[in-house]
This record gives sequence, C-alpha cells and structure tokens, in this order.
Amino acid sequence: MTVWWRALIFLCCLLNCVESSSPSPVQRNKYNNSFRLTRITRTRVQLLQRKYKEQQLGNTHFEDRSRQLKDLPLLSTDFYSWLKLTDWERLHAAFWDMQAFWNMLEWKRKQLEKEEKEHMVVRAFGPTLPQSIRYIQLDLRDLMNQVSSQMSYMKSSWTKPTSPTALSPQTRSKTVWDSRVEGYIILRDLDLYLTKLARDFLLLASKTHL
Amino acid sequence: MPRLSVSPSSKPNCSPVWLISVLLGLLAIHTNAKDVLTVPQQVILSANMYTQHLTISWLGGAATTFDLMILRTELNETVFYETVSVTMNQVSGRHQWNWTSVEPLECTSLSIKIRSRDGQTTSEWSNTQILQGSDLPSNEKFQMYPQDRIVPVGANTTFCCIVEEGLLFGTIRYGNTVMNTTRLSRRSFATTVVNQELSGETGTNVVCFDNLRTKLTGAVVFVGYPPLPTDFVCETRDLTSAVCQWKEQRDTNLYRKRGTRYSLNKRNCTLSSPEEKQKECSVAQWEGNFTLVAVNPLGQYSLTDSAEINHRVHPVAPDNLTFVVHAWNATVLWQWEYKSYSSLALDCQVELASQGYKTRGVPDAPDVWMWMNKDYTGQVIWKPLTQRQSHGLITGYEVTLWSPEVNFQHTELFSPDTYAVPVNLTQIATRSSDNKVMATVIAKNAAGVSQPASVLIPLRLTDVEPFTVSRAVYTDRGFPLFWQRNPNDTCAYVVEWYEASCKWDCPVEWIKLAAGNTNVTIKSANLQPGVRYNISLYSSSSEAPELLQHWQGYMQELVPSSSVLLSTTQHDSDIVLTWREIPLVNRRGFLLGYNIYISGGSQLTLLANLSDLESRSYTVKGLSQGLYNFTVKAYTSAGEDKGTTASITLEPYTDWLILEILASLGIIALLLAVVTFICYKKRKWVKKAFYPDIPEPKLSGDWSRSQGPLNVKPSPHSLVHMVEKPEWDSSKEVLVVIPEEDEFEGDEPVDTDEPTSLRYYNQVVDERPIRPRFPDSSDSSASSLDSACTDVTYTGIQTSGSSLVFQLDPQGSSEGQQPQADLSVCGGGGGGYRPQMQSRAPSDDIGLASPEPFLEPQAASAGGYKPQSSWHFDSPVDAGESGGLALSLGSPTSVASTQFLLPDGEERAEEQRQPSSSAATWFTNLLSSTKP
Repeated sequence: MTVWWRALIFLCCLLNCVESSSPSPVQRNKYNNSFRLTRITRTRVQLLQRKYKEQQLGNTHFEDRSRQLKDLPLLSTDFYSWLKLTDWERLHAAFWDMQAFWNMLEWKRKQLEKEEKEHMVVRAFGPTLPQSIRYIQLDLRDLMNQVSSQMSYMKSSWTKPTSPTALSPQTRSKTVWDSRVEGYIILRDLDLYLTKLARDFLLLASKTHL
Repeated sequence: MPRLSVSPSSKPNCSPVWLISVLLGLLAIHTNAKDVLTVPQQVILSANMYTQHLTISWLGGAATTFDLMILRTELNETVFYETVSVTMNQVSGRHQWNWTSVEPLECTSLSIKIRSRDGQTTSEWSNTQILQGSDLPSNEKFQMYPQDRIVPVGANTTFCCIVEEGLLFGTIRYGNTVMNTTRLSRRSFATTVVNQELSGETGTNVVCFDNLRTKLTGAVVFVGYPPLPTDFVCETRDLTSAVCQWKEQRDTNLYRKRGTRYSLNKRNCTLSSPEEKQKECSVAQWEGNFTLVAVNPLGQYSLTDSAEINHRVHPVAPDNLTFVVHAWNATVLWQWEYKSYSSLALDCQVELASQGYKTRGVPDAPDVWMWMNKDYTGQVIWKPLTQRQSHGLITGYEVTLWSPEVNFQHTELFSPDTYAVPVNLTQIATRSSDNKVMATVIAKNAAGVSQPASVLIPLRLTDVEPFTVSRAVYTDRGFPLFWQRNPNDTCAYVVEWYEASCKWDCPVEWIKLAAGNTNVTIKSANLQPGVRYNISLYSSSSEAPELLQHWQGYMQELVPSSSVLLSTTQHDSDIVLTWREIPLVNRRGFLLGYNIYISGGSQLTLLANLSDLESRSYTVKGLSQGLYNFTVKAYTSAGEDKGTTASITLEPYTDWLILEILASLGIIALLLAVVTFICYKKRKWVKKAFYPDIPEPKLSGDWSRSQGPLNVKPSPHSLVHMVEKPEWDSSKEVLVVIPEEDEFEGDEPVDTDEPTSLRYYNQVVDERPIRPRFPDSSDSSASSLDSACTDVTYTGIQTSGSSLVFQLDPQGSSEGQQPQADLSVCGGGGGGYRPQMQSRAPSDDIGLASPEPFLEPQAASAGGYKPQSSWHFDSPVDAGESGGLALSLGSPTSVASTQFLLPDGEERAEEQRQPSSSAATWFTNLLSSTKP
C-alpha cells in the first residue's frame, strides 16, 4: 500500500516537474489560473443565485430575463469585435467590468446585512446570503488582482486603483419586490459575465501559447 | 322658491277660470321643484393610493341626498352605486364623500358620476370624472399593486396585476399558491387573498406571470401583528434616573422600518438590544408617571406605570469591598456607587465564606449516642462537628470501648468522615455481670484532641419493654413532646427518634436536653411523610440510659400504599372474609379501621366499618347463591387505600345435597327389591300374561326356492333408443349421447381418457359426444370421431350447442387425431352447454338440421344463455386452456341435472390436474352412483 502511495506521489512530482519545466510561459499559466478561478467563482455564483431565489423570491425556478440594470456591464458583444480586441483592451475591460460587479455586490450585500441584522435571523446552518456574497466578492477581488498583475506586466505604467471606485448605486429600488429582483439580476448577469470572462481567459491563454 | 303664478281670484262667479288657474299653478310648482335639484358640478377626485381611499367632492347646491356611481371605466362595470346623504361643508360650500376601494386604485381607471336626489326625483348625472389607473395604454409596464403592503394577520387583501402591453396574462401566485383571478380591465387582473397568515421574515411574495412565463412582476406583502407590550415597570438604581422595562408578548413579525418603535414619556427609546423580548429604556429623571407607547404600521399600544422613587429602588452591589481582620472579629468596609445611597435606609447582608482558616484550638467534644440491636451488636454514633466546633480540620476520631469490671479496653482510630462505629459486645456481655459498657469518642485536630465524650451502652437494654406507646402529633414546627418530671431526677435527657420499620443498625437521630426540661419539639430535615417514627425519651445519667417514655408518630399520615391480603371462605351459607395486616412500612399512617364493601357492577356498597383493628375477619350472612366480590379497604386519617377485592361463588350447602342423593338412591333400591320380589313370587302369572306360548306353524307343500337379489335396474332401452353407427345426414341435426357403458370403447386415447364425470343423464347433455355431421368436415375425421363415441339419441334431449363449436373450428376438427382437435370436438371447445339455444320439440330435432349454427356461428357461440362458459372465463380459448375441474365444483348446474356442468377444455390437462380435481371427481362419482 505504502509503495503504491509513494509511487503515486513520485508520479505527481514528476508530472509537476514536467509541467513546470514545460516551455509554456508564465503568462499562460496565469491565464489558466484565472480561467480556473473564474469557473470556480461562476459555480459559486450559480449556487448563490439558487439560494437567493429560494430565500428572497420564494421560488428556485424564478427566471426573468426581461429586466436589466443599467449599472451593470453590457453582456452582449459582437463576436468579431470581441475577437479583435487587444490583450490590453480585453484585460482592461475585464478589470472594470469586474469592478462594476463588485460594487453592485457590495451594495446588495450591505442592504441584505442591514435587513438581516434587524430581522434577528439566526440561521442554524450554512452561510447567510451576505456571507455568500462576501465569498464571491473575495473571488472577484482575486481575479481583479490577477488581471491587474497581467496588465502591469504588459504596461508597467498601469497601476491598480488603490481603492475600488465605490460607485454607491443610488437607492433606486422603490419597492421591496424591485429590490429583490435587483439582487437576482446582479447574480444572473454575473453568472453570464463570468462565462464570457472565462472565454476571455481561454483566448488570452491560447494567444500566449501561440 | 316655488312661486304661485296665480293669485286667488276674488271673483267667486268665475269658477272655471279659478280652477284652471289652480291647475296651472300646481303645474308650475311641479316644474319649479324639478328645477331645484341641481346637477352636481365641479366633481373633484383625490385618491390616497396607500389607503385606497377616494375622496369625491362636488358642488351640489342645497341637495343633501345624492346618487353616487363608480364604474370601472374600461369594462363599464359598476363598482359602487348607492344613495348617500351628504351635508354641505359650510366653509367650502362643497359636498364630500369618502369611498374605500377593495382593489388598489392603480388597478384600473374608475369613472365617477353623481346626481342629486330628492325622494324619487333625481337630477341629471354630473359629468363623469375619471380616476386614471395604471393600466392606461401609455403605461406599458408590467405592474403589480399594492406594493409593500403591511396588513394584520387575518386580513383580506386584493392584489392586481397589470400585464405588460403586448403580453397575455398568465397566473398570480401568492407565495406558492396559484390564485383565482378576476378581470378588471383589458390588462388588469385581480385576486383576493383572504384570512392572511403570518408572512415569512421577509414577507410574502405575490408574483404575476404572463402566459408564457417569460416575464413577471411582483409585490411583497408583510403580514404581522400590532405591538403588544406587557409587564411595564420602571425602577431606579441611582435614585435619580429611571430605567423602564417591558416585554413584547408576541413577535409582531415586522422588522426594520416596519418594526415597532417605542417612546417613553414622548421621548423616543433607543433599544440597546432590540432582538430580546425584554426591552429596556432609560429616562434621565424620575418623573413619577411613565407612559410607554409602542407603534408599528399596524397600530399602537400604550402602557403606564406610576410610583414614588423610594418604592422602586433597585439596589446596586457595594463597591470597593475591603476587610480589616482581627483575631476574633473582622470589619467589612464598602462604598456605594451612588452618593444618594448614603441617605437610603438599606439592610445589608454579609455572607462569610470560609476559605483557608487557621486552627485556633482543640475541637469540642462530639455529641455521642449509641444504637443497640437485640443481639449485643450496635453502633456508637456521633454528630459531625461544625466548623465552629471543630476549630480547624478534624484529623480523625478515637473511639474507646471499656468496661472497668472485666478490665476490657479497646481503642480504635477512625478517619474524620466516620460518624458511626459498629460495636459487638457479645464477649463482654457473657463475661460481665455489669449492665453497661462505656464508649468514649475523642475528636482530633492539628492542635490536639477534644474532651472525651462518653455514652454508656446498656447491655440489658433490649430486655426493657416499653410500657406504653403514646402518639406524637406533628405540628408545623415538629413533634411536640411532653413528659412528667420526676422531682428526684437531676439527670439530663436524651430524645432519640428513628423509623419504626427499621430493625437493624438504624440511622437514629437524637437530641440531648439538660435536666429539668419537660418538653421538647423535635425537628429534623430528615423527617418524611408517611413514615412512622419511634421516639424515645431516655434519662442520661451516670448510669446506663433508661427508657422513660415512648412515642410513635407520623410527620404526615398518608393513605396506605398497599392493601390487605384478603381471602374468602364459605362457611355453611355464610361467607367469611379474613385478611392479614398491612406491613408497617406500607401503612403510612395509623390505621383507623377497615371498610368492607360488596361490589355490584362498578359500584361499591359499604357492608361494614370495622374500627377494631385486631379483628381481621368478617362474616357476611344471608346471601343467596351466586358470585360475590368483596373489597376490604384499610383507612388512615388520610383516607382509604385502594382496597383488595376477592371473589367467591356461594354454592349450595353440599352436605345436604349428598344426603338427598343417598336417600333417593336408597329408596329406588328398595323399590326395585320389592318389584323383583313380587315378580318372583308371581312368575307364573307374569309368564302367562306377557310371554304366552306360540304354536309352531305348519306348511303344506314345497315352498323352498333359491333366493336371489331382486334386479330392479331399469332397462336403458326404456329411456333411450340405441343408434349403432348411424349414418349421419348432414341436413339433420340430432342429439346423441354416449351411454356410460359404451363410452370408452373407442380407439381414441383422448376419448378413453375422458373422465366419467363428463356425462349427462336424462336431460343432461355432455357436449363432448354430441356432434352433428357437417358436409364440410372430412370423412376421416368424422369416422374417427364416430369411432370414438357411441352415439345415443335421447328422446327428450334438445340440440346441443357444441355443434356450433364444431362448425367454428373445422380445421381442428379435420385433424381429429390430434389432441387439440379432439378437444374442440369431444370436449366441446369453447361452446359449452347451451340448452337454451334452440328450444324446439325433441321430435322436431331429430332429422332436422338447425340453420342457426351455419348462419350465425359467431353470434350463436357468443350469444344466448351459456351457463357453462359464461360464468367461468372471459376468453373461451383461455378458458379451454386453464379451466380446472376443481373450479367446476362451484359451477352452476342444470336444473334437471344430477351432475355439475363442467367448463370445457379440461381434458387436456386432466391428468396433471388429477390431484387438485380429486375432490370434484369424487363428488361427481358420488353423484354418478345415484344414476339408474
């Protein structure tokens, strides 16, 4: 048994060495990391979306594709113009789009936290909605850091904005219902956006490889 | 004002003119009256969307009664149409009417018009004023109303959904419930939720979908309670400010901006912990009267409290506690947090906790007593020393037993947690003539040993029987005991008590009293209700303790925990009940007597009350025979126990019965003897009277003849006409039956396997051998069949339906050699017995072909009365394959049959089914044996 384990560990080490010693540049590796993190984040967003729909909208199958929020980045893009984007433009757009989502999440999280505090809700198990949003925000922050480091690698003049530009969306929710649907729209769009972002990273990684 | 246009005429002679004038005048009045009812003008609407109130105001002139009509503009449906009395506002000169809509006012446009009314007279309708709803085409959005409504539990709320322009309405869901809806306008749909239950923490969602469920909109409704605070009380801690507390009796289910807000004496309260049920709010100055007002969107509730400040002081703990400790005393010093406490009269409680003290002397002598069993064994016991008595940690005890007379001394050391030492004085008692042994106990601590505490153990104590036992009655404070003081007595006393049921090494408690006492009240935390205690008074002198008096008592008497052991015996015609005493432990009180009941059904009837505890038997007399239940219950001052019930059946007194039987037996024997004697004496007469001699008969001629059994079997030919190998004419249909004897003579193995049960007698037709001839059937098959069956024509038998089957399956019948074909031929296939199919006279049947089997074979086989096949199987094929003889046991029989009519197709599986059908075979054989 131990022999097998040792062999396995050795094999892993060997593979790792092969991987690390492969000629693929560090850049590509970083894009791959970003790609993976994007996918993980997307899974988290999907889970949260489900929970949000269940808790706030009372139905896990809630879907409303018709409504949009104007503070969120546009998701639709022309394929050829997307393909023709330079790496810098791509990363730049990704950074600010993520920033926008981060801001919206922050705003929604604070709103929910306030509600929960006053609701005196003591949840016995599982993270609360604000906690889950917080985890996604941390993922987004990590992704933004990765993108920022890539950007600074490309252009040394780029410096990551020291503090995220707090957009502090004005309280536009007039009714409780609208406010709840807003949270859903943010998560729905973030889910779609992260799919797009994953493609961005795949493209970047493939380009670097070439 | 109405005016009379005609003045009364002063000319009486012009009467027609006068009359006309009057009529004209009346007409004018009527016209003017109509003109007076002004049409309401300047109708103004003002709506409160949240409360769904609509305020309608108008200029209505002098009229006070108006007809109000409110319609849904689009569908022209009347929502409200009533006559209302409205007085004019003197200031504005306008009339005003408030109306509350069931539906939110946004749902659809409403048209409002008013007219004045005076009795049956009405004015014209005013111009229609329209309150525009949100379903106007200009407002294309998908909308839901009301939004964020807060309602009390049990309320009814109407929601409406305005479908987006271009979409079709789908459903409205309240939470997860799909609601019934009504249409208000082209785009507006409403639903009413009745008796609303508490919503979740985050409210209940009301969602409206379009028909494709691609788009939706919604609203949130919060269902809760108005506030209900209780237990409002204000206190002071610093003698200046007030701290008021209250509880919220129920959760309002409304939070955040919808949550309850409190104000104390019109100042807003900021709750430190709003999530707790116990709420607290402070006021800087004691005001004497306090008013708490709790408000939430569903209502408000106020509570008041008033008190003087001195009556509501909640003292705070002392501050800066310090000690000044001396050898024999200590001083405790503290400060108050608030200066005002200096003027407050306070009782202070000081608790001393002892931790790590120093020994300051030898222990006090312990309080020693003894317990003796009846066999010179016993215990020397002493009470644990208190902290005050022990003067430090007790390190152990030293117990010495000594008898000066026999020069016996035994000393032993015991651990500090020992409070009883067993002693065995058997050896001393045998050697000593003295009556006592001295036991001495010394307590030890680090500083030294205590004074010895002694007790004299009497060796003859057990011989002393207590003279009288008094009862001690427990009061609130204990057992009060009194005794006579002997003037010569100068000794001290010891009062000991223990559980009366205890016999061996009992946990005894005692108290020592100084000389001269004549009473004491015994108290102990160990006294328990329902336990009898023995209490003894001893004199304690230099001699051995002497028992002076003896008491027994209960702290509290209870009903006995067990019942008597009851037995019943019959003594002659009486019943004697005897029972045993209840064990002392179970008595739990002084028994006062026994109640004897006889139970009839569920009721107990008291027979006797025995207050004499010594008599534990009772005789019930004068009972007739039967079963009796007797219950005996012992009772104490606390009541009766559950009782024991014994049953006894009172039987007749058996001795007499035996005597009666013996006597009657003796009389019968005597009678027999007398009869025998008489018969013997008169035997000649008896013989002559009863057995006269009979002369022997004389026969003339030879009458001898061989005797044989009388053959009474009727000839079958008397009933049937045998047809040997008849040449069948296909045009004739005849009914043939194989006679029993000839049935199995054929070569066909199938036929020989036929069970004997498959027969018909007289009118019973076995469908198997009844086969008409058909022109299309092959000769070979016909001949083979013929050879299998010897046909018998029954004159009284009608045409069998089996012919139909034959016709139905000509292929099978042509292969007559095969078992399948035989089944359909000889077994009758699926056709079965159909005697009702054709009801012609038997004479007509013979030689006449029935047209029915050829014309409508299907119909014939399916129709008509088919007792054999119809009861058993749905499918004739299946029936033929799976039918069993055993099943046929319950089959219907022909009216004239002696035998069961059997379902078809059983032949094939006959052999396999033999065991299961043996009963049927036996039964049919039994029936067959009855045939002629």
